[in-house]
Amino acid sequence: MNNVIQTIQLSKKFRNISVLDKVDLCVPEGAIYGLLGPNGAGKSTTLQILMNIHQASGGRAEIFGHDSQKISPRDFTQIGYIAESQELPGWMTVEGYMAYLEPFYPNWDRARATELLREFDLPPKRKLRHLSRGMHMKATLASSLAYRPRLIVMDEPFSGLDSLVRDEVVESLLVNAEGASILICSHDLAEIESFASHIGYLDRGRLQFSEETASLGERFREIEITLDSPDPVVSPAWPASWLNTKLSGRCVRFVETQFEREKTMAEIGRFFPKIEQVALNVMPLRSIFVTLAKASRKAA
Amino acid sequence: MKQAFHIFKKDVRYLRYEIAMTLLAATAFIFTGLRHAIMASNAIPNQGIAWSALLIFLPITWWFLISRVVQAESPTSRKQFWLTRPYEWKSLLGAKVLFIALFVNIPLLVADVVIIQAFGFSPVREIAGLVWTQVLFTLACVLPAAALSSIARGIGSLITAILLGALGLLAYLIFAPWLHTGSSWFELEWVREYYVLLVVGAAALTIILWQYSGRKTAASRALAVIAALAIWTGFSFLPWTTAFALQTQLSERRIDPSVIHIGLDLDRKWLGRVYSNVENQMVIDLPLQITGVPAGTELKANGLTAVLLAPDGQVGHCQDSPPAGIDSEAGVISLQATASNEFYAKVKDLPIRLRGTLFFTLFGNKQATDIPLEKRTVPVPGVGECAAGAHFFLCNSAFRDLSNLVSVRTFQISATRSRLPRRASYSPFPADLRIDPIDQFFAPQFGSVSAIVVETVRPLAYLRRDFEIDNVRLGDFEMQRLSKTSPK
Repeated sequence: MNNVIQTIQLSKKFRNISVLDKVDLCVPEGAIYGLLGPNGAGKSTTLQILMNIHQASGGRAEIFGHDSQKISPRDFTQIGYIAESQELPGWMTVEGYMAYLEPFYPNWDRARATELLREFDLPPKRKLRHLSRGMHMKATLASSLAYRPRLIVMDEPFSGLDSLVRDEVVESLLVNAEGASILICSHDLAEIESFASHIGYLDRGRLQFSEETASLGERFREIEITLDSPDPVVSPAWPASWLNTKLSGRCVRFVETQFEREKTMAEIGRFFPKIEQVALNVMPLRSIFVTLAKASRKAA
Repeated sequence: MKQAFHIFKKDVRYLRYEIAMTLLAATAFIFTGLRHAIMASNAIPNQGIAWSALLIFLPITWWFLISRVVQAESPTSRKQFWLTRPYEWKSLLGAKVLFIALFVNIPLLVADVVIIQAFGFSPVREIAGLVWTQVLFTLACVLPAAALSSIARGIGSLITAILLGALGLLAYLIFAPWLHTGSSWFELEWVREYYVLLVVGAAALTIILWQYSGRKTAASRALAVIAALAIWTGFSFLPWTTAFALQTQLSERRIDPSVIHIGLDLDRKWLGRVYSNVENQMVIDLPLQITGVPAGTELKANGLTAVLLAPDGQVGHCQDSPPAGIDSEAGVISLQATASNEFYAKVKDLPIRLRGTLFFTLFGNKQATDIPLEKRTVPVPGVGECAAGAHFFLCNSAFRDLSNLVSVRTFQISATRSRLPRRASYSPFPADLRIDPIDQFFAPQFGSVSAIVVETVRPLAYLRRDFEIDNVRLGDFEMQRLSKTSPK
């Protein structure tokens, strides 16, 4: 599978403050990639480097196989960029804005544009500066879907939107961007966990992991072991893939981050010879992220 | 081209009120210019509050419109929608150029054509002046406004940058006398002006290309600072003698300067003065006699450098700022210099040597034109359009200060000749940097006259002549020492 987006050792400093540190990120063609991370993790900066709004301090970023610093107007005809902070020409009406953008895109579909406005319930005659936050986002999205882009890049698109509008936007995105690759960054997992095919987690400028959502769920298990004898002791020999270890009476709890049934059970048997019971609990994505965030903070 | 026109149309819709304001100002400029042209025949000076206000207001409207159109798609922005849309940078730049040409340059061109025509000039004959005015206007106003707007974050930071620049200029004007820089170069001022325009134009053009092709804001801002420093350095420290050497290359005729002889004017020795000033320096003012001026030519002194040499070889600093070293009031050319009190005390009664260099212009090819007393304009070669009545005389020149010397001979009971006191420029170009296309000047008030003849001579050669005057006794010219305190 080809990558529509790839960063290699991507780094960025703002006045000697490191914002991104050697980030290697791949977005395969057709994927819906959710880039997650807390505020200030470097998500928006990554997207802005990809869009050639900022220049990288080190490493390389590629879109469609081209260096993002040399991203051409022709490339932009295949990219839809939607950002919460994007400034639209507020003096234009919604339909005026769509009409203005039309000649820039050879693939612009006027009927689809009209349909999108109707679907999003956007008042065509209203000036962009008079739109609510939700409408503003919808107008940006509509203007980016009307030409069927190959790649959609979304920077905190749901920030400040109520759940009704968010669901509406997500639904429309999934229907209208079918076949397109999507890179979406957010600080809230709940916003994207339901539809992201790939997840990356960025914290303090470093990509902690990046993989398919399905394999992520397979890889993580919350393990609870009940021992025969009381008062177990934490051993430094325990595998590094065991995170958030907690001891309580005869119970040992931890999160296995490299779960493979046979291998994990063998390791458990090696460290705990007398076991009464073992529970292998599937973790929701939210719990996985909380675990990883805590582990990442602890390591830092 | 199609995309450029599309962006241009968007800008026109977006800035329709600003465009209307700018065109209104241009219309007011034309109207006021026409009114002045009508009033000029009645000898009312081309002055007035409205006119002066317009000359300030017009550049402000132009700067405002240019900054608005540039910032509609600001190269410094990180948030504007267009950054991630398929804009071709050449189309974007083309759209801005088209907009500025149509709503800034062309209205000024139209205004100039209408105004000069109303003053009696033919736009076809003055085509060089019209075109060159546009070139200068673009270098001095359009390019800097566009370049600064392209590196400013918004109108607020643009205004801050302009105010800081104005503050810097003010500080320079205040401190220039202490730095011994910035004094006027009179006829040669155009050299410094063109140096500034070239630096401004080159830097602004580079910044605009950098910003539109690659949004290199940090490098562009650094270049703007370097350009400002280069302007200040050049304006302050470019030697006047270098400018005169350049001017010499523009001489129309080759004339050997050794035919000119310079000495003390002993017939007017009484005009010489040496006295102590409030800074406790000796001011030396000696009348010079210049002979050997070729027949049919007229000499105008432009500058002078001089040093005083004592019999023991000691050198007294005297005058090294050429345009300030000369005074040529009422046909008498005088050396203007200073020397230290100590040096003067030592040499005042000794025969010293005055060594110097005179920089001068030889004028010739006299032309005389009769001006009918009929209140109608007539073309005067080398001047422009002139008109006269029984009690007034005025001339209009288009686009630039004159390089020619202009005299007016009037006939009442006897003939009198007066030189028109006005600014002059030796610039070889057909226009000066100015908004008002007409330079209007009046002769001194006459009584009732029966005829008027305008005589002009044009500069033929710009020359320098080294000279030495021996046996000068400064003590012979000493005046009573001035009191440092004012008389009560």
